[in-house]
Amino acid sequence: MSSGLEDSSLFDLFRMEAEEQVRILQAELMKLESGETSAATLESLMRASHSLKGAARIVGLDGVVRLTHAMEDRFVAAQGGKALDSAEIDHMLSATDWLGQLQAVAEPEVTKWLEENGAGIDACAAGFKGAEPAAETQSAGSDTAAVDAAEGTEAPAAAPVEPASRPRRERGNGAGGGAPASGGASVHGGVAEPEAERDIFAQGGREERTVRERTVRLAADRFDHLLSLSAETLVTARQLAEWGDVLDRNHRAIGKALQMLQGAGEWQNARANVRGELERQVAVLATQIADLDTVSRANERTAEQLYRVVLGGRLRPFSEGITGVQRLVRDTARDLGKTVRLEVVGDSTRVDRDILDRLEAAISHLVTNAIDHGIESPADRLAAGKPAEAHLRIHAGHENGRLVITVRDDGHGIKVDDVRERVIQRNLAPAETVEGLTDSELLEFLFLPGFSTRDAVSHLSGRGVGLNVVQSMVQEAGGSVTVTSTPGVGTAFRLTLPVTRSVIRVIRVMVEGEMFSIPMVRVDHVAVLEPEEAGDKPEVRWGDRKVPVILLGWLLGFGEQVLPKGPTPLLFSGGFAFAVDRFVDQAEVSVRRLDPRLGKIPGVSAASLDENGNPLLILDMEDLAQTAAGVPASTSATLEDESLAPHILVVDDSHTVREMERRLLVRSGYTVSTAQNGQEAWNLLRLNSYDLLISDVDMPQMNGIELVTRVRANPRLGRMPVIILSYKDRAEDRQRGLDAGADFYLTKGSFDNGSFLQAVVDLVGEAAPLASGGQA
Amino acid sequence: MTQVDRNRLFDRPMAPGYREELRLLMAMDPPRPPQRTGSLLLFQLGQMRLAVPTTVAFAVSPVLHIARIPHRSGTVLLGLVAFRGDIIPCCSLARLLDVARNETGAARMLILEESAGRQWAVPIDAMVGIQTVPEVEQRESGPLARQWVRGCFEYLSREFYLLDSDNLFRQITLATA
Repeated sequence: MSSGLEDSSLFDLFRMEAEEQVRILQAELMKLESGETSAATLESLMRASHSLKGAARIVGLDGVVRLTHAMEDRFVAAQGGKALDSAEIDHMLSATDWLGQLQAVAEPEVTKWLEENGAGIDACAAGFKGAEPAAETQSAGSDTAAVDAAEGTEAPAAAPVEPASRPRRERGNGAGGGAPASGGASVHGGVAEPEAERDIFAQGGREERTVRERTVRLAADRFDHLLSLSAETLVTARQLAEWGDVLDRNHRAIGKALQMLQGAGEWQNARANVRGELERQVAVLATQIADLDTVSRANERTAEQLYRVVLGGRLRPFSEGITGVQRLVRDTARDLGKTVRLEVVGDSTRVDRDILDRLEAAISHLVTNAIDHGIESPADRLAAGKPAEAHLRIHAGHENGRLVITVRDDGHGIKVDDVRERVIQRNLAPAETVEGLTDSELLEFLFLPGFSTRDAVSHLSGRGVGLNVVQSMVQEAGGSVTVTSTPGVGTAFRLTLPVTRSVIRVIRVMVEGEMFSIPMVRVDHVAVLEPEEAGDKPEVRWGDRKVPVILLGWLLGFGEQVLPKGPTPLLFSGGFAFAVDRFVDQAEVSVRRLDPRLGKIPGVSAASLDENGNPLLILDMEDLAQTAAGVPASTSATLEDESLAPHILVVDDSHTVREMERRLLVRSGYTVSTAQNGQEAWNLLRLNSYDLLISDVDMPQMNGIELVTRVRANPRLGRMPVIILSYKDRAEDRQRGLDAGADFYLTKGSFDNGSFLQAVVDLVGEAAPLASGGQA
Repeated sequence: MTQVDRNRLFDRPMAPGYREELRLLMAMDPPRPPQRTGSLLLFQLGQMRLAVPTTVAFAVSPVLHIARIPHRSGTVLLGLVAFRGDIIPCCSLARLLDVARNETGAARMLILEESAGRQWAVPIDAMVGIQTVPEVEQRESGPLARQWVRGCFEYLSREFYLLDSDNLFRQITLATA
C-alpha cells in the first residue's frame, strides 16, 4: 500500500499534520467561543493539541512541544470543569496562529524562524492558566524539559499576554498566517504573457512567430485528460478508415460474384433479376464507400490536427531538460583539469514532458563519461594536434517522427581492443566469439551493468554503472541508445526516443481470457513454436540460441498454469519467450496513465481502451523480463511467495508518527501497511494477512486497547504478535495494554529506534534491509 | 353583511376561557418539521437493502466489462472498468461489507464519486430508486457492522441501511491500495 508520503521529509509531514490539526483547533475554538461547549468539542481540542505535540516532538520542535503541551493541559482542565473564558479562547487562537505561521515557513528557514520567534511562542505557552498537566506525558529528553517541568505542578498563573506572544499576522491572510507575500513583481503586474515558442507540431514548420499569445492556465490533470481524449479521437478516426477498407473489400467481393453470374444457364431470368438487384446494391455501396472515405479522411485529418495541437501543449523545449548540464560540464572539467566547450544544438526541439523528465540524468551521465573517459588533458590534446579546448556537442532534433539526441565528444575515442580484452577477462563471451564480433557489437558490452574499461574507480566513473543507467532510462522511455567511436576522433552516443508516449503501436494478446497489449518496440519476434523440455525449464530454439519459455499468465499472477503441449504462441522480448493463449492483432492505442490509487502494478506500465471501450492494460515487458530473470521458470509457486519480508501493520492517528515508524521499518526490510485508527486497522486485519501489529492507544473510532482485545479474541488473528506504542506510560496504562494482550508495551516518550526495532525482531525476526521501497 | 351584523361580530363579548386557551396554544412548541436526510439512492446487494446519498452516487450503468489487474485483483479490488471514457477501479462492496451475493452476474454497476475525478465502480444486484426519506434511525445492532451504517429507515415496508459514505470511501481506499 502506498501512502504517497514516501518522498516527504518529516517536517513536510509535520506541516501536513499541523495544517489539519490547526484547522480542527480553530474550528472547535470558534464553536467554544459561540457557547457550543460540549464534551466532544473539548475532546477534539485536546486530541488535536495532543497529536500536534507528538508530531512536534518527532521533528524536534521543542518550543512547539511546550506550546501544544500547555494547550493540551488547558483543555484537559476544561474537561475537568475549568471552562475557558473569552480571553483564554483568544489566547488559544493566538497559539494556533503561531502554529499556522510555522506551517508556512520553508524547512531550511525553520531554525532561523524559531530563533526569532521562540520567545514569543514560549510566552504564549506560559500564558495558559488553570491547566492540569496531561497525565501521560513523561520525560523524553532535554527537548521536552519544559514539558517535564510542568508535570505534577499547576501551570503558571495567568500571565498577561505579551505583545511578543501574539504572532504578527499578514493582512488578508486566512487562519494560520500563511506565507509572506513573495517579492516578485509578477504579484502586482498581472499574468505575464510568455513569448510564443516555435512549435513544429502546432505550426507545421512555419517560421517562428513573434506575436505574443494569450495564455490560459490549465491544470496538468485536465490537460492530460484532454490529451487522452484527443488521442482516443485519433485512434477512432483511424479505425473508421479501416472500416471503410472492410466495406471496400465487401464491395469487390460482390463485384466478383456478379461476374460469376454472367455465364449462361437454364435459370437465366432468375439470374438476370438477381444480377440486376446486385448491380443496384453495388452502385449504392460504392457511393456509400466513397462518402465514408471522404468523411473518414476529413475526420482523421481533424483528429490528427486536434491531437497535434493538444500534444503541442504538452511538449517542452529540450533546453528545459538539460538546465544543469552546463554547470556540470564546467565543474567536471575544472575538477579534472580539462578545458571543455559545450555546444547545444536544437535546444528548442520540442520533447514530451514525460520523456524530458528522464533526459537530464541520462545526459548528465553521458557528459560526465565523455569528460572523464573520452576527452584528453589539454597537454595530450596539443600533443595529438588538437586544440587544448575540447568540444562537447549535444544535438537534439526530430528524425522520422522520433526524437534523436546525440552526445558527441572530440576525445581519443574508445579503444575497442580494451573492450575486447575486458569482455574475455570477465568471461562475458568465449574468446573465439569475441574475436568474431564487429566493433559496434563489442561496444554494446559497455551498456552491461558493472562493465567498465577502467581499472580504478574515481568519484566520477569507473564502476560501470553510468551507461547501464543511461540505457535503462532510455528504454523505460521507449527508446534505444547506441554508441559509435573513432579512435583519435571521438565518441558519439545516439539516443533515439519517441516524441511522445501518448499513442503507441501494440501487439494484442489473450492471456487467461484477458486481453493485454504489448508495445511493439519491446517485441523482438513473435512465433508459434513447440517448446522443448529442458529439465523443469521449458525452452525454445530461436536461431542459434535457446530461449527460456515463461507463461505470461503465470508471470501476471493469474494462478497456476501448465505450459500446453504442442505449438504455442510465443512472444520474444528481453531474452525470454513469453507464452500466451493467442495473438489477437496489431493496433494503435492511446496510452493513459494508470490510476494513481492503484500504485505501481508489477508488469503493467499503462492502460488504454479497446475499440469496444473496454479497459486494456499495456504490459511493461522490461519489468516482466526482470521478474522472469529473477525467478525459476515454470514453477507452481506464486509470485506473492517471493515476498518473504514480514508484513507489519502500523496503526496511529498521527500521520507523522505513522510515517516515522513506517520509514524505520521499511529501511529495515519489512513490508509495512498503515491505518489511522483501530477501526481501519480491524478492517485491514480482516481482509489481509499480517505478521505483526503495532498500535497506538489513543485513537478515534476504536482505540488500541479495543483493537488488541478484538485481535486476541479472533481465532485467525489471536496468535499474531502485537506491540503497543503509546504516549501513556503510567504503570496502570502499561498494565492495561499488556492485559489486553500486547506482547510489548513501548512508550513514545522514551522512543528509541534500536529498542523499537529489537522488539520487532524479537517478535517476527529480521528482514533483509532494502535499498529502497517497501510497501506502505 | 350590514353594519349592525359587523358590530355584533366584532364587538361581541369574549368567550369564557378564550384567553387561557390562547395562552396555552402560544406556549406550545410548534411541531418540528421532519428532518430529512437529503436525496438517497436505494439499491439492493444480495439480500441487503442499502442506500447512499445521491451526492456520492455518480451514475448507475449496465454491467461493465471488468478487466482483471495482474497481482492486484483479489478480495475487494475486482479490476478496472471503463466508464464514459475514463478507466476507474472496480471493487466488491459485497466483500467489503461481508454481504453474501450471487457473484456470477451483477445486474448493475453503481459508480460512486468520492470527490471530483475520483470514482469507484461497484457491482450491485438491483437499483431500487431515488428517495428523500425522513431522518434515519440509529440502531445498536443490525446485519451490518455499526461502522458502515449511518442509520436505517423503512421504505415500501422494507428496511434500508444508509451507508456512511465517508467511512465507505476510506475503507475502499484502504482495502484496494
